[in-house]
Amino acid sequence: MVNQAVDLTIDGHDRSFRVWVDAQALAPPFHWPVVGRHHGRQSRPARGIEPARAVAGRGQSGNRRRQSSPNVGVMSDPELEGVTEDTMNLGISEIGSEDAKGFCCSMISEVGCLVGCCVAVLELEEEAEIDSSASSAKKQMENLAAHDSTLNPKPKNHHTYTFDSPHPIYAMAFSTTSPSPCLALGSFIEELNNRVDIVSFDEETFTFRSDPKLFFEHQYPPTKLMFHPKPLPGQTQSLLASSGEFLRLWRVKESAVELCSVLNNSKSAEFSSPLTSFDWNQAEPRRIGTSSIDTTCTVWDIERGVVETQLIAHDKEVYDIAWGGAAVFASVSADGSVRIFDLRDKEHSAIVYESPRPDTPLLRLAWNKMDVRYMATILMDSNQVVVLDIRSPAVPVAELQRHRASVNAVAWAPQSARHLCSAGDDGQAFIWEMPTTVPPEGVDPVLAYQAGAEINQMQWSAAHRDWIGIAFSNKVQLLRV
Amino acid sequence: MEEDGGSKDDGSGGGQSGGAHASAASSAWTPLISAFRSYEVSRIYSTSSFKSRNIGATVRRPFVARLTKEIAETFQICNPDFKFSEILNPKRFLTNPSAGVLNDGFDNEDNDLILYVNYILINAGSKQRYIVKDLLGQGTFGQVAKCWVPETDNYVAVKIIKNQPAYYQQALAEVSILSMLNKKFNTDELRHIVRILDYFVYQHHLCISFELLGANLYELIKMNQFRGFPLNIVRRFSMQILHALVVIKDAGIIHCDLKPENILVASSAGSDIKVIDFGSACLEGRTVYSYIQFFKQVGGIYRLEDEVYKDVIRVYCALTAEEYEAKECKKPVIGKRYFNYVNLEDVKLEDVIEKYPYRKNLAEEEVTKETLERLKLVDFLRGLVEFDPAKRWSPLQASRHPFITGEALTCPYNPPPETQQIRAIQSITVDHHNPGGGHWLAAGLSPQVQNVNRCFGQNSPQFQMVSLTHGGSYGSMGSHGSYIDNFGIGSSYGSYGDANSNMQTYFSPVGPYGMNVQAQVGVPVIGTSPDTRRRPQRCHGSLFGVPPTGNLGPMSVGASPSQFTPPCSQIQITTVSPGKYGSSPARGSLHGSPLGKATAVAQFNRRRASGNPGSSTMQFHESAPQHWQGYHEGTGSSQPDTYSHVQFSSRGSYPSSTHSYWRQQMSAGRGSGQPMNSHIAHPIHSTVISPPSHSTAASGDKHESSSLLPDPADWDPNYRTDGQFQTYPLDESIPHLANDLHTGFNRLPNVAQNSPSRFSLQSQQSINRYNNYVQSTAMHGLRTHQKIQPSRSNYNMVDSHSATNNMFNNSMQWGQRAGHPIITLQPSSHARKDYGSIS
Repeated sequence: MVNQAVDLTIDGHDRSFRVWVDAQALAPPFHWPVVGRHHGRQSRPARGIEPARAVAGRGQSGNRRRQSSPNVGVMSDPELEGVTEDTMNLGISEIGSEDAKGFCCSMISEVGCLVGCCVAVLELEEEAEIDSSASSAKKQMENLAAHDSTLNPKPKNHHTYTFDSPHPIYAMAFSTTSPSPCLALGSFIEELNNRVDIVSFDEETFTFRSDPKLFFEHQYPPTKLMFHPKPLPGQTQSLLASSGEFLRLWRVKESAVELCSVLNNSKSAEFSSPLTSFDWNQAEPRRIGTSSIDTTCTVWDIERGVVETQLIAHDKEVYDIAWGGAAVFASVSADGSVRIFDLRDKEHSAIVYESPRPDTPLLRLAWNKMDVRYMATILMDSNQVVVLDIRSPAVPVAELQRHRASVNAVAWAPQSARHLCSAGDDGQAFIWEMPTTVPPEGVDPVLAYQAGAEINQMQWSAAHRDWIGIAFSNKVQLLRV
Repeated sequence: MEEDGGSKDDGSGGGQSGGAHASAASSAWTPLISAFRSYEVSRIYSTSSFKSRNIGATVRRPFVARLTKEIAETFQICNPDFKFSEILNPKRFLTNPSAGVLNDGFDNEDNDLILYVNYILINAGSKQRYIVKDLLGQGTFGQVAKCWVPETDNYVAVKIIKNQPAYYQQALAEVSILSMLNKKFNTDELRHIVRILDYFVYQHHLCISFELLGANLYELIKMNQFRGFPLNIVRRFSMQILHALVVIKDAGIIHCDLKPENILVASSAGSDIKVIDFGSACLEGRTVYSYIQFFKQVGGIYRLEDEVYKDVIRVYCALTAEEYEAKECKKPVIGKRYFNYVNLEDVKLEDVIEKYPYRKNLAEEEVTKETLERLKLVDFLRGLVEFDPAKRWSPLQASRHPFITGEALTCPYNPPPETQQIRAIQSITVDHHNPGGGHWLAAGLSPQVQNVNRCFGQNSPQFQMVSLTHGGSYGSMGSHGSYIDNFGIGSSYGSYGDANSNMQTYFSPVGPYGMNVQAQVGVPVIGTSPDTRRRPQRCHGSLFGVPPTGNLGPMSVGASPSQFTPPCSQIQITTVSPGKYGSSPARGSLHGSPLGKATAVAQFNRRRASGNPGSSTMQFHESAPQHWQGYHEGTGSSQPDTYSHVQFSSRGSYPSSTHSYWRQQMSAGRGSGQPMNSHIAHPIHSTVISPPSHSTAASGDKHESSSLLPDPADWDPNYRTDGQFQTYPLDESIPHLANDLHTGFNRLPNVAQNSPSRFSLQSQQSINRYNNYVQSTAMHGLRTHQKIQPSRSNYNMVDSHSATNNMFNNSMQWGQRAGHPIITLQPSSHARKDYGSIS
């Protein structure tokens, strides 16, 4: 058998792709790398296009995943410019029944819309036998393809919306006030000309609107952005906090953003200790806790603009902080520990977790607002999300390790005590549901989303709980859950 | 789970595509399939494609890492003027109070080094860094910090001693004892004794690094609500404690502070325990002042005991009482705070153990079995707490008890004589019970001193001897003077604080090897003339009653003189000739390096120095040989032992040599007509093993010599202190037989070979100088010198210059920090000059 090559031309685009299949892997019975073929289910007609990332490469760099799975690759025409491998998703659908050997290819742009599709029927050696069914299958698939393309009209699918930014995005915050999702986006530029843009999303038209006046300069890349958690009702303006070398408060008005205050606790003019993160106390909104690489956490009273307390929280840099109550916060650090502090007893802290290898930094911490017994943290250069129960220190409830690269962000669902989302360098965002008991083989995520690049940031909107925001490269996507 | 997710998806996937808002939070909330798809393991989730973009370039960490772990670097890239300094980080102080008052602000008012998290302790010698992470404990001695060693990624426990001479000295003793243990015993033998890893001085604090262990037994008992442990655990722990005690006893050490708090569970293996804290420990025969502590507890009981036995009792009672304590604490039973019994006096041991409630649900047989075990335990404890030291079991004997071995107990345990057992364990070790041990204290402190002195003649007799008989000659002796000097200084130090044991200095960790060797070497070489013998003896006595030779020197050097205060004062009064005092360059050595590395050198200097002022140096040295003779007289067969000990000592095991000494002393004591000692000593002697090879002509000669020279001083127990040095035999042999010398030297070279690398640095120069010096100074025994010279190289004299400098520096610093007047002394320089002039 020979490799089957199918030329795929996408309408309306000046691009052509060649899709090829390693037919040797197609010896029956074979499995399509498609949802629905596994777990012994009956094959079903392809109904939609499964976004799956093809093994892409300029050459036949097929990556055999399973013995019985065909090797599918996509090769862009080398003549064409503007086509990058990581901006394409190849969707593959199986066709018809067992005897219909063929597949449907479609290009899905990184925004989730169908760019083009084509159908190919494999010519197997037993041509004679399956000839008729193949041709009928081909017809069927063509129909399907046509159907798919009509199913996905130009404004894409309804669940994923992309905002293109001129610069890479790291910090991101959902507004807590606006009737529709509104984002503050902080750039990550390794210069002193970073900025924060306020972008709103119109749920009617499914478009992003960025008011050129709604932005502010922020010299260093903001390490975190956060809106006031409990805005006064009816108030159109809201407070936004940002952290960098200092903690700053901004007033976001309808047509402008004003700097409210700069909260600087540095004792030295020459040296400064950057803030790695902060958290706004939901129960006591005048409190903001910041974490710094000078090993301390500082609790500000933002109404008076004074430091309420500063604690040497860790033996090394502190990387994140999260409030669990009006007077209780937890922090993670380069020393690999998660510590809980109570402002009513500052002399003591409780270590609820220590990373298995000493001094493996913990980068982020998320405290479950729906059930404060649980928190989640991520380790540097690790594909794990560690879920902790503060009642049983030291032993994690679960270690979620289905990411294939380091995890960069984690957030609990604002509407469920059992769900959390994680995103990482493998470009995937997973939604997990915590089981009552963790099976020995580990927990699988319930849902997955594949983005076009490493996901640097992920936030779950508290005000609009069915939206998750992710940031990868220059893009921000809103994902509906 | 995956299945569930999949099915849900199937059901809702199509219908939800309309994009209806998910209902607000509810307990049954489930995410919709919309942007997210159900998770499939087999789906092509790209892994490498993103990374492939970075091929050829250095892979950069994700933003989240660049804004946390690498934020300082990132900000620096953004702004080259950005500066962050860890040094400015607020410090989390571990030491309380944390206000810098003393030692240029490094120490607090309690003389504790002010520690904070990430404080770095540095061993200046090896450049090893210890990064303080936590405080494990605090005590009168100082602090114990949990430290991280970056190179090995290991945690260790570092004991940071207070910046005060008294504590410093005491800790030095601990170091010497532990390093000696390390040298003398193998890993297996030491498996229940805490392992010392390193020691150094940082900011004038002696720091000792140990392996990191777990909780102590007291904590364990406490965690158990003082209900004790199961019998099998008690047995296991007892076995291990006994194992440790056997080793400790073999080494001639009294732990002096054995208690549950000082027995730690090794963190690695669950039920393995280790004995820690040798900070109060002393050598048998050398009492430490801290010993008093012990007397408070146990000593009173024995006050009326026959004086002769006092040492023995003390030793035994240290051991057994410690065992007693240690064991008891493990049981649900007796004991002050370790148990629930309020009034100890009302409780009988048997009752406590036998009436302790049995576990529930025990089968009939098990109850019987448990009862039997408890009977064994009672018998076991009885033997350990036996009031009569003669009947009390040694650790070794105890370890043969059926309770430990698991044998059936048919009748009350009657241990076999200990000597045999001992030999079985260590053929080399001579005596297990040091009859001669621990006299110092008694002599110096207790009102009963006189009796004690008589018994243990070493110290007190010496003093007497000196003052009475030899008094006149003292002044003339340069060497003597130099010693005194040291002491004098010491006494001035003494004002600082308590006096520690001589032992400590004696054992100064690094010094020991060097010291022994040197001392030995020096003595034989120099001293041939019979005239001087007596003087040296006195010197010894004056020195504190501690062995005056090399060992002492190191002591005085490395350690703060304060230790010696009491004895010193005596010495000074009796023996010192003021003129020599002031002039003697040797002082410098006194201040010497705390760690004792330089100590050997210091001695060296001292001797030289002593030689400098007058001709007396030689005399001093000579004394050693004489002692030896006397010593030999008593012991006879002991010589071989001495040799073997020598070898050991070269490796750094002092105690062994000490032991031999003791025995010899004992024998001497016999000879001198002290019957009390003799009976104890006698059995011990019998135990001594004389390797055939050693018992050559030399021993015979020595005997002869001893017989030839019946000077009472020779056999005086006091001398024995000197006898520690193996060199003695050589000296003796020198006058009589050239062969002896040779043999002696041959052996010595062996020693040198064994001796640690430190000495390998010895410079030929120094040796040569030394020789020259000897020649120039020596009016007598030229023959001896020449013969000796070739062999000297083997001795590995420490390079005097470097060593001296070190010592000097250290001492100076010390003095400065502490604000001692001693600072003004320039010992090392003097010594060197003298040295130079000599050569």
